[in-house]
Amino acid sequence: MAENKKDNLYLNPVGKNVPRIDGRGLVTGQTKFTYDIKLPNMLYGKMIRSPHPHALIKNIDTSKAQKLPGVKAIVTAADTENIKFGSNEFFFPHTVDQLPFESEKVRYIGDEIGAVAAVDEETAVAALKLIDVEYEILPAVFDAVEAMKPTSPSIHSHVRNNIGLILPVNFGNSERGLRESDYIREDIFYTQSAAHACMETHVCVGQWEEFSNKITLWISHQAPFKVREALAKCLKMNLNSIRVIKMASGGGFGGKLEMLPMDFAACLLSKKASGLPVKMCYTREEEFSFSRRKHNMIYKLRSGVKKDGTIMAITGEVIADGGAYCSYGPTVLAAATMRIFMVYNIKNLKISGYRVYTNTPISGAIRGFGGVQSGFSIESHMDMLADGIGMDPIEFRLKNITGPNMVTTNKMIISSNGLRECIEKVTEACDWKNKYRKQSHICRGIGIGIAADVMGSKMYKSHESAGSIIKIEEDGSVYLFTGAADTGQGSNTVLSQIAAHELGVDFNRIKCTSADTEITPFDTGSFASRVTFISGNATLLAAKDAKKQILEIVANELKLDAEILDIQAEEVINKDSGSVVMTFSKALELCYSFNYGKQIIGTGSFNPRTTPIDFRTGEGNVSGSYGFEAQVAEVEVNKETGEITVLKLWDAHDIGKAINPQSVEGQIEGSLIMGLGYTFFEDLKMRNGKVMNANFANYKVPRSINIPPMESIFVETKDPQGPYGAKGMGEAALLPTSAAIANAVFDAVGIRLKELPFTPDKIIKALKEQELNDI
Amino acid sequence: MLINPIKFYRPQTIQEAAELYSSLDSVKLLAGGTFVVNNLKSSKKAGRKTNDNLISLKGINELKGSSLSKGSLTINSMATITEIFEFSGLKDNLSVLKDACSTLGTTQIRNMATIGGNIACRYTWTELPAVLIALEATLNFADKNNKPKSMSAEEFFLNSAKTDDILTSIVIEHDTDSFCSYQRFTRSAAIDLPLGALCIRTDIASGCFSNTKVVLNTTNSFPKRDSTLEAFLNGKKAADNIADSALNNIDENILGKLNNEYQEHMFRISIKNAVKNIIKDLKTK
Amino acid sequence: MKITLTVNGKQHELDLNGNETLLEVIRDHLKLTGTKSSCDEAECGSCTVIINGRSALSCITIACDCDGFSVETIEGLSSGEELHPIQQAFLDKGAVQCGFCTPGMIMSSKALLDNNPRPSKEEIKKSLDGNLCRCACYQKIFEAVYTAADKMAK
Repeated sequence: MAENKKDNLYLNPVGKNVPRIDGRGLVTGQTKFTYDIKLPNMLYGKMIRSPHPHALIKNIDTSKAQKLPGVKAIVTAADTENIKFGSNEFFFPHTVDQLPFESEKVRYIGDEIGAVAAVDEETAVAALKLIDVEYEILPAVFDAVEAMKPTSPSIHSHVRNNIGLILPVNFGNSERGLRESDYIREDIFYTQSAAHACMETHVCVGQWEEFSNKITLWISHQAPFKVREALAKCLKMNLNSIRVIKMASGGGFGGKLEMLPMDFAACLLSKKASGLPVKMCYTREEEFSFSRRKHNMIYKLRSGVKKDGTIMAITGEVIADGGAYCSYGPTVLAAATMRIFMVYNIKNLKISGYRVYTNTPISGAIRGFGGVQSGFSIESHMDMLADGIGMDPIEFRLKNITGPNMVTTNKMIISSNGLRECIEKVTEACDWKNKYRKQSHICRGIGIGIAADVMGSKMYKSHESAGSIIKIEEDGSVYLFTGAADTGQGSNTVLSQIAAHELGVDFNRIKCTSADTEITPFDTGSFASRVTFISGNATLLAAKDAKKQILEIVANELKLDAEILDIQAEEVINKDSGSVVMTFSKALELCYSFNYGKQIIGTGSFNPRTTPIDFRTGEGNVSGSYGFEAQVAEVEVNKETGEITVLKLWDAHDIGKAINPQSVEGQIEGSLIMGLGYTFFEDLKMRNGKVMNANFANYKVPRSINIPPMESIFVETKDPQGPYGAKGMGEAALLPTSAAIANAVFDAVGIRLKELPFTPDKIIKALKEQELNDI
Repeated sequence: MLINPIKFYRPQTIQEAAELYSSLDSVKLLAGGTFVVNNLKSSKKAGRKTNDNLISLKGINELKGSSLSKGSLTINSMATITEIFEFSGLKDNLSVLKDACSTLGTTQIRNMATIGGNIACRYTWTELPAVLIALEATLNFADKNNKPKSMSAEEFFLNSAKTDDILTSIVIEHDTDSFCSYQRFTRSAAIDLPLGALCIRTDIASGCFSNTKVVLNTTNSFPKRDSTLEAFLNGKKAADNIADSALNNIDENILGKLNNEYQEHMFRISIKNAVKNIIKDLKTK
Repeated sequence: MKITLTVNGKQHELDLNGNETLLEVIRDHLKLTGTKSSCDEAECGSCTVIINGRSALSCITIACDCDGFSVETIEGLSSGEELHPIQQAFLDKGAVQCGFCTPGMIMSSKALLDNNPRPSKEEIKKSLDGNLCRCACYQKIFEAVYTAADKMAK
């Protein structure tokens, strides 16, 4: 019996490859996405956008459009309270810089000044053409370095030189550190802008119920509670008057982490159209041009090391192109600088980060936050430092990395830390010793990159707690209500596994309802790899609570001490004797019986033990736990064509404990491929503020034929705070990929690539320059 | 609706199609649809006027299929790229057709796109024209009165001849003594339209290159023959060193007009590799 | 224009204007919403269906041009409770994340196995080159198709 239970996927499911709880609907095409919503009398909305990158709004005349048959509502700033919203407001109130509809000034091509709802999309588009907006065109600036000059046009009046934010991270004494170094080097790295390119574009349906003054918004999103909060702020409503329902969502990757004007517009248009539902759905072109993009960054580094490999100081400057508004800029910039402390145990770090406004589409959060740009820069730079003192890159990393149970220079509290083991395991798996510096004769090379990741971060609120409710019905079926947003990473499944395992019941009893702001408890959202750790802990607590309620009744009935009881694999057992007391079903019958009549409702709330970050200094414990990884890329360079073939990628990952190993692997592989795309061909090109490649024909994303062999190696350090020891896992695997590949290319053919993406023409150019230098 | 209102016709014979085509104004022929339908959608989005009438050729059985008989390959114009790729008779000089078809678009596109559409659309970056010119293909048409017409692929592309005729079939002679190589390159590792493509075909007579055709497709104009390189190769012994010396005998006017250093570089590499492949094939035969 | 379209084995008589794409007919007229559109420019493969046994993009197919054709969509794969082996394999191998590309991906996979019952891993990779998956489940998708082919051959 015990053996069967062990093999049974659905009993004690933590650690097992339980198939997606919502998978059947996805493979049969029956699951409805927001994209599929069609309600009776539904209207279709389109945003009124600025065609200019920088202009004053002189007048908006919607009268002609109002008369077009089929147009049911038009809204502009005049219909709003003109309340600004932002994404990092709690810590950076001055970065709250965007209105739902701009009324005085537009700052990028596509900036929203209003919206139209009509009986069909065609009519809405025709209505846009009839709206006359008088602009006074202002000079615009499209480059961050240029924008910082005092002579450049000012985009926001509340800042100087278009610098929206400065993060002057400065610890220790970097000047002295450099003075005491044996080898110093200076490098500049350039990273490009990129797009999320989710398969389901931004889409929502808003409906205003007049008699109750209540809004319902169905949406494809990662953070529905954030949307609710922003809507409540801008519409001056109570939180419980707004219901945001996250549908099955076709991807997010950081692009669906905040309210966009389109979400606000859908609600307001519905109000103006007497409560008819309004659907706003981005076309692919709109998705590329008017949602969010990755901050392109210039990353300057000047660092010094001792002959024995000790890093004495890392200094530098980061200039991040933020586009027209702030979005999650501060968090991106913080991730691009402070995370270095998670990886390297250094005392002296001085990196000034600048987030600069330009008249281009808004830069925001995208998988990895600023960690991808910094991962490429830092890990390439580290390899070059190691090379400068003739040290093996692995040895160099091992000499300087952080370890378990330590406090970093900027007061991050690291408990479990499997970085050393990750490095050791990955170098063994890839046969580093026999490959490094040994294959250049066949133009092959191997390179390493390491990274660390957070499990959440207090981004826009004072807390970042998650909540879960477990409700057990009379027949033993279980509801799990969680605020966590599953955008495909499988959180519904993982959280249900935790619930089932802790409750001691078959996984198939669980039905998970997630991310409906009216039904589920609060959750900040799916970002920063936080869900397994934070929402998982909340679920664990809710399950513990529910179980406790059941066991107290059983104990009372049988005159036993509740402490000696537990529920495991569908049975209430006596922990001391090991004997079965009764089945779970019987226990539940008892709870709902005449004598007790107790509804079993377990609740859990979890807020990770973190400290606020002092963004003036960069000090603070941003996460309840930290994840780590070491990644190796092996490449072959075709010196004739400039093509780089990735022969294999290895990723050793400290994930604490894999609740669903297959899901973890899926996240690692998914991140690796996104990293691959960013390294080789993803490039959001803009000219004079306009996205030039706003389609899949010209913005290239990885396809099946681009997939190299990959190997995921789990390092399970059993985090003391994580549910069953689990940490989060959603984005880290793409942080060091570009650097691992750049380092491998250097090993293969001796050229150092400092500008992404590595397109073949750049490799040919670098090889030609190398040839000239060698002469 | 994603496409403007349109009157849709689906003739069952070439005769019917020719009659419709000659009698209707503002009319477009529809083959596989991978260009035409995509364009109808993007034109509507951009607010441009589109044709009022659409004649689909999918219902015409005479335009389907391929056959190899008496040393002559006949591909009817509505044969899809997948069908051509899977045709079992593509050997010797015809194998470059298979190579070109295998890298065209993606699987679904290959299933839908037709050789006729690829030729008739008159886009400079399509894949098959360079191959058809090198293989000395003959294009057969039916004019508006359903009278047959013919011209060489070379004439059709190099002379940019505009035609209102319906392409019905493509004929290529199967030549066992002819050696060909097709090269194609893109701007990155992602699946993409070609940044450049070329096809070299030669008859080897007494171990020497003869009747060589070097066709370069620079994707911003119709395929061009490099007569300088052809003249250099003709008469030369097919030996290994020819590939490198070939690079000194390219028509620099063609490559000189390119504004893209990498594109120029890759053409040189591709020419070298094409010549190398031909010599290798010759040796293995 | 009146056309006859067989969708998932069921014959439909449709009266169309002429400018409807097959995707619009499938989703709006026949209410089969499993097939998606993610780009509307023939690049992403989310709209993939099987027409006369071959995978094709319904977003650039004119519905009237399919008169007399047989079309298969994702809804036609499972029969009652039982999932098609490809669908089951996708679940078992973790080849589904957000699920938006999944219907198109499964239809491309089915078209491959219908024409080539025992494909190599390379052939699987190549045949799925027209289906984008931004979650990048590719590796697990290849394994799922390989496994399904194995099961279906038995």
